[in-house]
Amino acid sequence: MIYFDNAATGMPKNPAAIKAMTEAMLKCGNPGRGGHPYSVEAAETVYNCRKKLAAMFGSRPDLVIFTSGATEALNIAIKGANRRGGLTVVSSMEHNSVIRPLNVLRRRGETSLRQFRVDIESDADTLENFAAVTRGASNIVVTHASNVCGRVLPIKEMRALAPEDAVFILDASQTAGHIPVSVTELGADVICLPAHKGLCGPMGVGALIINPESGVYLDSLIEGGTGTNSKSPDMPDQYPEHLESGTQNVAGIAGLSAALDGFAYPVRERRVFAYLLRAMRLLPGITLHGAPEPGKEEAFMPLILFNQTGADCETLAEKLAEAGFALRAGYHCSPAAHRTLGTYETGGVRLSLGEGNTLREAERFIAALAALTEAPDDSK
Amino acid sequence: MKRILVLSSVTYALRVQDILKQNGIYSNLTRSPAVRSVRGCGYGVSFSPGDEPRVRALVAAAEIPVLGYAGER
Repeated sequence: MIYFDNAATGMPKNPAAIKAMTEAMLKCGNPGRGGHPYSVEAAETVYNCRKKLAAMFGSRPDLVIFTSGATEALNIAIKGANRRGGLTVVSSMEHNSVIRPLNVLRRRGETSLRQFRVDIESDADTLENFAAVTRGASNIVVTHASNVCGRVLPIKEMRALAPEDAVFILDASQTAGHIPVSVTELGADVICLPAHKGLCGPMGVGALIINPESGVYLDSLIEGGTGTNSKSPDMPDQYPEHLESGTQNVAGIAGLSAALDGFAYPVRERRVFAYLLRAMRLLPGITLHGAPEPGKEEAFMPLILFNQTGADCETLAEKLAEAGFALRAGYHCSPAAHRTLGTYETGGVRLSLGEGNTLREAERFIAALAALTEAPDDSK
Repeated sequence: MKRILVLSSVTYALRVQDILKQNGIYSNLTRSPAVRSVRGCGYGVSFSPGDEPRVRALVAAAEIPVLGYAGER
Protein backbone atom coordinates (compact mmCIF):
# COMPACT_ATOMS: atom_id res chain seq x y z
CA MET A 1 0.00 0.00 0.00
CA ILE A 2 1.35 3.42 -0.95
CA TYR A 3 0.41 6.04 1.58
CA PHE A 4 -0.89 9.37 0.26
CA ASP A 5 -2.84 10.54 3.33
CA ASN A 6 -0.19 12.57 5.14
CA ALA A 7 -2.55 15.48 5.78
CA ALA A 8 -4.49 13.12 8.05
CA THR A 9 -1.41 11.76 9.77
CA GLY A 10 2.20 11.66 8.64
CA MET A 11 3.63 8.26 7.73
CA PRO A 12 5.91 6.48 8.14
CA LYS A 13 6.41 7.36 11.79
CA ASN A 14 9.96 8.05 12.81
CA PRO A 15 11.43 4.79 14.24
CA ALA A 16 13.33 6.85 16.83
CA ALA A 17 9.99 8.17 18.07
CA ILE A 18 8.62 4.66 18.55
CA LYS A 19 11.73 3.61 20.48
CA ALA A 20 11.63 6.73 22.66
CA MET A 21 7.99 6.10 23.52
CA THR A 22 8.73 2.58 24.70
CA GLU A 23 11.69 3.79 26.77
CA ALA A 24 9.59 6.55 28.33
CA MET A 25 6.96 4.05 29.40
CA LEU A 26 9.66 2.02 31.10
CA LYS A 27 11.60 4.87 32.69
CA CYS A 28 9.29 7.82 33.30
CA GLY A 29 7.14 8.57 36.31
CA ASN A 30 4.72 11.45 36.47
CA PRO A 31 6.44 14.70 35.51
CA GLY A 32 6.34 17.51 38.04
CA ARG A 33 4.95 15.25 40.74
CA GLY A 34 8.01 14.43 42.78
CA GLY A 35 11.72 14.71 43.33
CA HIS A 36 12.49 11.03 42.81
CA PRO A 37 14.38 9.87 39.72
CA TYR A 38 11.32 8.57 37.83
CA SER A 39 9.51 11.88 38.12
CA VAL A 40 12.62 13.91 37.34
CA GLU A 41 13.34 11.75 34.28
CA ALA A 42 9.80 12.44 33.06
CA ALA A 43 10.07 16.16 33.80
CA GLU A 44 13.33 16.38 31.88
CA THR A 45 11.85 14.44 28.96
CA VAL A 46 8.92 16.85 28.77
CA TYR A 47 11.09 19.92 29.23
CA ASN A 48 13.54 18.84 26.51
CA CYS A 49 10.66 18.59 24.09
CA ARG A 50 9.44 22.05 25.12
CA LYS A 51 12.91 23.40 24.36
CA LYS A 52 13.01 21.83 20.92
CA LEU A 53 9.54 23.09 19.98
CA ALA A 54 10.34 26.56 21.30
CA ALA A 55 13.50 26.72 19.18
CA MET A 56 11.67 25.44 16.11
CA PHE A 57 8.61 27.68 16.38
CA GLY A 58 10.15 30.89 17.74
CA SER A 59 9.08 30.86 21.38
CA ARG A 60 10.29 29.99 24.89
CA PRO A 61 10.06 26.60 26.62
CA ASP A 62 7.62 27.82 29.27
CA LEU A 63 5.31 29.12 26.54
CA VAL A 64 4.97 25.69 24.94
CA ILE A 65 1.79 24.08 26.28
CA PHE A 66 1.25 20.41 25.57
CA THR A 67 -2.19 19.23 24.53
CA SER A 68 -3.73 16.07 23.13
CA GLY A 69 -3.50 17.51 19.63
CA ALA A 70 -4.21 20.57 17.52
CA THR A 71 -7.95 20.34 18.21
CA GLU A 72 -7.49 20.68 21.97
CA ALA A 73 -4.92 23.44 21.44
CA LEU A 74 -7.38 25.33 19.24
CA ASN A 75 -10.18 24.88 21.77
CA ILE A 76 -7.99 26.27 24.55
CA ALA A 77 -6.84 29.19 22.41
CA ILE A 78 -10.27 30.04 21.01
CA LYS A 79 -12.19 29.74 24.28
CA GLY A 80 -9.36 31.03 26.46
CA ALA A 81 -8.90 34.19 24.41
CA ASN A 82 -12.56 34.88 23.77
CA ARG A 83 -13.85 38.20 25.06
CA ARG A 84 -17.55 38.00 25.83
CA GLY A 85 -19.52 39.88 23.22
CA GLY A 86 -16.54 40.24 20.93
CA LEU A 87 -16.16 39.58 17.24
CA THR A 88 -14.21 36.65 15.84
CA VAL A 89 -13.00 36.60 12.25
CA VAL A 90 -12.29 33.33 10.43
CA SER A 91 -11.34 32.40 6.90
CA SER A 92 -13.50 30.47 4.47
CA MET A 93 -11.09 27.51 4.66
CA GLU A 94 -11.37 26.59 8.34
CA HIS A 95 -11.49 23.08 9.71
CA ASN A 96 -14.23 21.99 12.10
CA SER A 97 -11.69 22.18 14.95
CA VAL A 98 -12.04 25.95 14.55
CA ILE A 99 -15.64 26.24 13.37
CA ARG A 100 -17.23 23.99 15.99
CA PRO A 101 -15.77 25.57 19.16
CA LEU A 102 -16.57 28.99 17.73
CA ASN A 103 -20.10 27.91 16.99
CA VAL A 104 -20.52 26.86 20.63
CA LEU A 105 -19.44 30.36 21.69
CA ARG A 106 -21.71 31.95 19.09
CA ARG A 107 -24.76 29.95 20.22
CA ARG A 108 -24.10 31.03 23.82
CA GLY A 109 -23.98 34.65 22.66
CA GLU A 110 -20.33 34.91 23.64
CA THR A 111 -19.00 35.92 20.25
CA SER A 112 -20.23 36.92 16.85
CA LEU A 113 -18.60 35.55 13.74
CA ARG A 114 -17.47 36.99 10.45
CA GLN A 115 -15.91 35.06 7.63
CA PHE A 116 -13.69 36.30 4.82
CA ARG A 117 -13.26 34.49 1.53
CA VAL A 118 -9.86 33.09 0.66
CA ASP A 119 -9.02 33.62 -3.00
CA ILE A 120 -7.07 30.56 -4.06
CA GLU A 121 -5.33 32.39 -6.90
CA SER A 122 -4.60 35.77 -5.35
CA ASP A 123 -3.12 36.78 -2.01
CA ALA A 124 -4.00 40.38 -2.81
CA ASP A 125 -7.69 39.51 -3.12
CA THR A 126 -7.57 37.40 0.05
CA LEU A 127 -6.04 40.33 1.93
CA GLU A 128 -8.64 42.71 0.54
CA ASN A 129 -11.41 40.36 1.69
CA PHE A 130 -9.77 40.05 5.11
CA ALA A 131 -9.35 43.80 5.52
CA ALA A 132 -13.04 44.30 4.74
CA VAL A 133 -14.19 42.26 7.78
CA THR A 134 -11.45 42.65 10.34
CA ARG A 135 -12.39 46.04 11.80
CA GLY A 136 -13.46 45.68 15.41
CA ALA A 137 -12.32 42.07 15.63
CA SER A 138 -11.28 40.85 19.06
CA ASN A 139 -10.09 37.45 17.86
CA ILE A 140 -8.84 36.20 14.53
CA VAL A 141 -8.59 32.46 13.93
CA VAL A 142 -7.12 31.28 10.66
CA THR A 143 -5.53 28.24 9.19
CA HIS A 144 -1.97 28.59 7.96
CA ALA A 145 -2.78 26.28 5.05
CA SER A 146 -5.97 24.60 3.95
CA ASN A 147 -6.22 20.89 4.75
CA VAL A 148 -8.39 20.49 1.66
CA CYS A 149 -6.37 22.14 -1.14
CA GLY A 150 -3.12 23.10 0.59
CA ARG A 151 -3.31 26.84 -0.11
CA VAL A 152 -1.05 28.76 2.29
CA LEU A 153 -2.53 32.00 3.60
CA PRO A 154 -0.52 35.26 3.76
CA ILE A 155 -0.41 35.32 7.55
CA LYS A 156 2.24 37.99 8.10
CA GLU A 157 0.37 40.42 5.87
CA MET A 158 -2.92 39.58 7.56
CA ARG A 159 -1.43 40.25 10.98
CA ALA A 160 -0.30 43.66 9.73
CA LEU A 161 -3.86 44.46 8.62
CA ALA A 162 -5.57 43.17 11.79
CA PRO A 163 -6.43 45.37 14.76
CA GLU A 164 -3.39 45.52 16.99
CA ASP A 165 -5.28 44.35 20.07
CA ALA A 166 -6.96 41.41 18.35
CA VAL A 167 -5.70 38.00 19.45
CA PHE A 168 -4.38 36.22 16.37
CA ILE A 169 -4.65 32.42 16.57
CA LEU A 170 -2.97 30.37 13.88
CA ASP A 171 -3.86 26.77 13.07
CA ALA A 172 -0.57 25.33 11.82
CA SER A 173 -1.85 21.76 11.53
CA GLN A 174 -0.92 21.44 7.88
CA THR A 175 2.28 23.49 7.86
CA ALA A 176 4.17 22.50 11.02
CA GLY A 177 6.99 20.26 9.89
CA HIS A 178 6.45 20.98 6.20
CA ILE A 179 7.63 24.61 6.11
CA PRO A 180 9.26 26.84 8.76
CA VAL A 181 6.64 28.36 11.05
CA SER A 182 7.74 30.98 13.57
CA VAL A 183 5.19 32.53 15.88
CA THR A 184 7.37 35.62 16.27
CA GLU A 185 8.14 36.06 12.57
CA LEU A 186 4.51 35.63 11.54
CA GLY A 187 3.31 37.86 14.36
CA ALA A 188 0.60 35.48 15.55
CA ASP A 189 -0.17 35.45 19.26
CA VAL A 190 -0.70 31.71 19.42
CA ILE A 191 -0.04 28.79 17.11
CA CYS A 192 -1.64 25.38 17.45
CA LEU A 193 -0.15 22.24 15.99
CA PRO A 194 -0.28 18.44 16.09
CA ALA A 195 2.74 16.20 16.63
CA HIS A 196 1.59 13.52 14.25
CA LYS A 197 1.32 15.20 10.87
CA GLY A 198 4.28 17.03 9.33
CA LEU A 199 6.47 16.30 12.35
CA CYS A 200 5.78 12.55 12.01
CA GLY A 201 5.50 12.14 15.77
CA PRO A 202 2.84 10.14 17.60
CA MET A 203 -0.88 10.81 17.63
CA GLY A 204 -2.31 12.09 20.91
CA VAL A 205 0.13 14.97 21.33
CA GLY A 206 -0.07 18.55 20.18
CA ALA A 207 1.06 21.95 21.31
CA LEU A 208 -0.20 25.43 21.81
CA ILE A 209 2.73 27.83 21.46
CA ILE A 210 2.51 31.40 22.64
CA ASN A 211 4.44 34.29 21.12
CA PRO A 212 6.80 35.65 23.82
CA GLU A 213 6.26 39.17 22.46
CA SER A 214 2.49 38.95 22.60
CA GLY A 215 1.48 39.15 26.26
CA VAL A 216 -1.72 37.24 25.54
CA TYR A 217 -3.15 35.53 28.60
CA LEU A 218 -5.50 32.62 27.96
CA ASP A 219 -8.08 31.42 30.46
CA SER A 220 -7.74 27.75 31.30
CA LEU A 221 -10.17 25.37 29.67
CA ILE A 222 -9.59 22.43 32.02
CA GLU A 223 -8.62 22.72 35.66
CA GLY A 224 -6.98 20.17 37.93
CA GLY A 225 -3.75 19.02 39.46
CA THR A 226 -0.49 20.47 38.23
CA GLY A 227 1.86 19.11 40.89
CA THR A 228 2.65 22.63 42.05
CA ASN A 229 1.11 25.22 44.33
CA SER A 230 -1.09 22.43 45.69
CA LYS A 231 -2.58 24.35 48.60
CA SER A 232 -4.28 26.80 46.26
CA PRO A 233 -7.78 25.99 44.94
CA ASP A 234 -6.93 27.91 41.79
CA MET A 235 -4.82 27.04 38.79
CA PRO A 236 -1.29 28.47 38.80
CA ASP A 237 -1.05 31.82 37.06
CA GLN A 238 2.02 30.94 35.09
CA TYR A 239 2.40 29.07 31.81
CA PRO A 240 2.65 26.26 30.99
CA GLU A 241 1.01 24.82 34.12
CA HIS A 242 -1.81 27.37 33.92
CA LEU A 243 -3.09 25.51 30.86
CA GLU A 244 -1.82 22.00 31.62
CA SER A 245 -3.70 20.08 34.27
CA GLY A 246 -3.63 16.35 34.84
CA THR A 247 -0.95 13.95 33.80
CA GLN A 248 0.81 14.65 30.53
CA ASN A 249 1.17 12.12 27.72
CA VAL A 250 4.84 11.59 28.56
CA ALA A 251 5.38 8.70 26.17
CA GLY A 252 3.86 10.72 23.33
CA ILE A 253 5.93 13.77 24.21
CA ALA A 254 9.07 11.59 24.33
CA GLY A 255 8.17 10.30 20.88
CA LEU A 256 7.70 13.80 19.52
CA SER A 257 10.97 14.88 21.09
CA ALA A 258 12.82 12.05 19.36
CA ALA A 259 11.12 12.89 16.06
CA LEU A 260 12.44 16.45 16.37
CA ASP A 261 16.07 15.34 16.78
CA GLY A 262 17.88 16.02 13.54
CA PHE A 263 14.65 17.20 11.94
CA ALA A 264 15.07 18.62 8.44
CA TYR A 265 12.36 20.29 6.39
CA PRO A 266 11.22 18.10 3.52
CA VAL A 267 12.51 18.62 0.00
CA ARG A 268 11.50 15.58 -2.00
CA GLU A 269 7.76 15.98 -1.39
CA ARG A 270 7.86 19.28 -3.33
CA ARG A 271 9.27 17.56 -6.42
CA VAL A 272 6.72 14.76 -6.20
CA PHE A 273 3.98 17.38 -5.80
CA ALA A 274 5.03 19.26 -8.94
CA TYR A 275 5.16 16.01 -10.92
CA LEU A 276 1.71 14.90 -9.76
CA LEU A 277 0.14 18.25 -10.61
CA ARG A 278 1.52 18.10 -14.14
CA ALA A 279 0.59 14.46 -14.68
CA MET A 280 -2.90 14.61 -13.16
CA ARG A 281 -3.82 17.60 -15.30
CA LEU A 282 -3.16 15.50 -18.39
CA LEU A 283 -5.57 12.72 -17.35
CA PRO A 284 -8.94 12.90 -19.10
CA GLY A 285 -11.90 13.05 -16.74
CA ILE A 286 -9.82 14.18 -13.75
CA THR A 287 -10.52 17.64 -12.33
CA LEU A 288 -8.26 19.29 -9.78
CA HIS A 289 -9.88 21.70 -7.33
CA GLY A 290 -7.99 24.71 -5.97
CA ALA A 291 -4.66 23.46 -7.27
CA PRO A 292 -1.76 25.79 -8.06
CA GLU A 293 -0.99 26.94 -11.57
CA PRO A 294 2.42 25.77 -12.82
CA GLY A 295 5.17 27.75 -11.09
CA LYS A 296 2.98 28.69 -8.13
CA GLU A 297 3.38 25.48 -6.13
CA GLU A 298 5.29 27.26 -3.36
CA ALA A 299 2.08 28.89 -2.12
CA PHE A 300 0.62 25.44 -1.46
CA MET A 301 1.24 22.52 0.84
CA PRO A 302 1.78 19.29 -1.12
CA LEU A 303 -1.78 18.07 -1.35
CA ILE A 304 -4.22 17.79 -4.21
CA LEU A 305 -8.02 17.65 -4.19
CA PHE A 306 -9.54 16.01 -7.23
CA ASN A 307 -12.55 14.26 -8.68
CA GLN A 308 -13.28 12.01 -11.60
CA THR A 309 -16.08 13.09 -13.90
CA GLY A 310 -19.22 11.14 -13.15
CA ALA A 311 -17.71 9.19 -10.24
CA ASP A 312 -18.53 9.42 -6.57
CA CYS A 313 -15.44 10.48 -4.59
CA GLU A 314 -15.75 7.74 -1.97
CA THR A 315 -16.07 5.11 -4.69
CA LEU A 316 -13.02 6.47 -6.46
CA ALA A 317 -11.00 6.38 -3.21
CA GLU A 318 -12.18 2.81 -2.63
CA LYS A 319 -11.00 1.77 -6.08
CA LEU A 320 -7.69 3.47 -5.48
CA ALA A 321 -7.37 1.60 -2.18
CA GLU A 322 -8.04 -1.66 -4.02
CA ALA A 323 -5.26 -0.66 -6.41
CA GLY A 324 -2.92 -0.11 -3.44
CA PHE A 325 -3.16 3.61 -2.69
CA ALA A 326 -4.33 5.19 0.58
CA LEU A 327 -6.16 8.48 -0.04
CA ARG A 328 -8.95 10.20 1.83
CA ALA A 329 -12.27 11.10 0.22
CA GLY A 330 -15.22 13.15 1.48
CA TYR A 331 -15.28 16.54 3.15
CA HIS A 332 -12.13 16.33 5.28
CA CYS A 333 -13.89 17.95 8.29
CA SER A 334 -13.81 21.24 6.36
CA PRO A 335 -17.18 21.91 4.73
CA ALA A 336 -16.38 25.64 4.52
CA ALA A 337 -13.31 24.92 2.43
CA HIS A 338 -15.29 22.65 0.11
CA ARG A 339 -17.85 25.42 -0.29
CA THR A 340 -15.06 27.82 -1.22
CA LEU A 341 -13.67 25.36 -3.74
CA GLY A 342 -17.06 24.52 -5.28
CA THR A 343 -17.04 20.91 -4.06
CA TYR A 344 -19.58 21.25 -1.25
CA GLU A 345 -22.06 18.93 -3.01
CA THR A 346 -19.61 16.34 -4.28
CA GLY A 347 -16.75 16.29 -1.80
CA GLY A 348 -13.49 15.15 -3.32
CA VAL A 349 -10.52 12.82 -3.11
CA ARG A 350 -7.46 14.24 -1.38
CA LEU A 351 -3.94 13.12 -2.09
CA SER A 352 -1.47 14.43 0.48
CA LEU A 353 2.26 13.90 0.42
CA GLY A 354 4.99 13.45 2.97
CA GLU A 355 8.74 13.25 2.71
CA GLY A 356 8.50 9.47 2.55
CA ASN A 357 6.78 9.57 -0.84
CA THR A 358 8.86 9.06 -3.96
CA LEU A 359 8.57 9.92 -7.64
CA ARG A 360 8.32 6.21 -8.40
CA GLU A 361 5.25 5.96 -6.14
CA ALA A 362 3.76 8.97 -7.88
CA GLU A 363 4.33 7.40 -11.30
CA ARG A 364 2.61 4.21 -10.17
CA PHE A 365 -0.30 6.27 -8.88
CA ILE A 366 -0.69 8.09 -12.19
CA ALA A 367 -0.71 4.76 -14.04
CA ALA A 368 -3.38 3.39 -11.68
CA LEU A 369 -5.51 6.52 -11.93
CA ALA A 370 -5.21 6.51 -15.72
CA ALA A 371 -6.37 2.89 -15.77
CA LEU A 372 -9.37 3.79 -13.59
CA THR A 373 -10.35 6.72 -15.75
CA GLU A 374 -10.32 4.45 -18.78
CA ALA A 375 -12.39 1.75 -17.05
CA PRO A 376 -16.19 2.01 -17.16
CA ASP A 377 -17.71 3.57 -14.02
CA ASP A 378 -19.71 0.90 -12.20
CA SER A 379 -20.55 3.09 -9.22
CA LYS A 380 -23.92 4.14 -10.61
CA MET B 1 24.95 24.47 53.66
CA LYS B 2 23.07 24.95 50.37
CA ARG B 3 20.98 27.74 49.01
CA ILE B 4 17.73 26.89 47.30
CA LEU B 5 15.91 28.93 44.73
CA VAL B 6 12.19 28.11 44.99
CA LEU B 7 10.09 28.11 41.83
CA SER B 8 6.45 27.52 41.09
CA SER B 9 6.92 24.64 38.68
CA VAL B 10 9.27 22.01 37.40
CA THR B 11 9.30 23.82 34.04
CA TYR B 12 10.80 26.93 35.62
CA ALA B 13 13.17 24.83 37.71
CA LEU B 14 14.51 23.08 34.62
CA ARG B 15 14.75 26.37 32.75
CA VAL B 16 16.79 27.82 35.61
CA GLN B 17 19.01 24.75 35.64
CA ASP B 18 19.64 25.22 31.93
CA ILE B 19 20.61 28.85 32.41
CA LEU B 20 22.89 28.06 35.35
CA LYS B 21 24.54 25.22 33.44
CA GLN B 22 25.19 27.52 30.46
CA ASN B 23 26.94 29.85 32.89
CA GLY B 24 29.02 27.18 34.56
CA ILE B 25 27.03 26.99 37.80
CA TYR B 26 26.37 23.52 39.16
CA SER B 27 22.87 22.98 40.55
CA ASN B 28 20.43 20.26 41.54
CA LEU B 29 16.69 19.87 41.32
CA THR B 30 15.07 19.43 44.74
CA ARG B 31 11.71 19.00 46.48
CA SER B 32 13.14 19.50 49.96
CA PRO B 33 11.16 20.80 53.00
CA ALA B 34 12.53 24.25 52.28
CA VAL B 35 10.60 24.25 49.03
CA ARG B 36 7.33 23.08 50.61
CA SER B 37 7.61 25.74 53.31
CA VAL B 38 7.34 28.47 50.71
CA ARG B 39 4.07 27.46 49.05
CA GLY B 40 3.40 23.73 49.06
CA CYS B 41 4.50 21.51 46.18
CA GLY B 42 6.97 23.52 44.20
CA TYR B 43 10.40 22.79 42.90
CA GLY B 44 13.72 24.12 44.01
CA VAL B 45 17.12 24.45 42.47
CA SER B 46 19.93 24.07 44.98
CA PHE B 47 23.33 25.68 44.48
CA SER B 48 26.37 26.73 46.42
CA PRO B 49 25.92 29.86 48.58
CA GLY B 50 28.91 31.47 46.89
CA ASP B 51 27.04 31.48 43.57
CA GLU B 52 24.01 33.32 44.93
CA PRO B 53 24.73 36.80 43.54
CA ARG B 54 25.24 35.39 40.04
CA VAL B 55 22.22 33.12 40.32
CA ARG B 56 20.02 36.03 41.35
CA ALA B 57 21.32 38.17 38.47
CA LEU B 58 20.87 35.44 35.85
CA VAL B 59 17.37 34.55 36.98
CA ALA B 60 16.33 38.21 37.06
CA ALA B 61 17.75 38.77 33.57
CA ALA B 62 15.71 35.84 32.25
CA GLU B 63 12.58 37.26 33.95
CA ILE B 64 11.80 33.96 35.63
CA PRO B 65 9.29 34.33 38.47
CA VAL B 66 10.81 33.28 41.80
CA LEU B 67 8.82 32.27 44.87
CA GLY B 68 11.72 32.72 47.25
CA TYR B 69 15.18 31.74 48.42
CA ALA B 70 15.79 29.37 51.30
CA GLY B 71 18.75 27.87 53.09
CA GLU B 72 19.26 24.20 53.88
CA ARG B 73 21.95 22.17 55.57
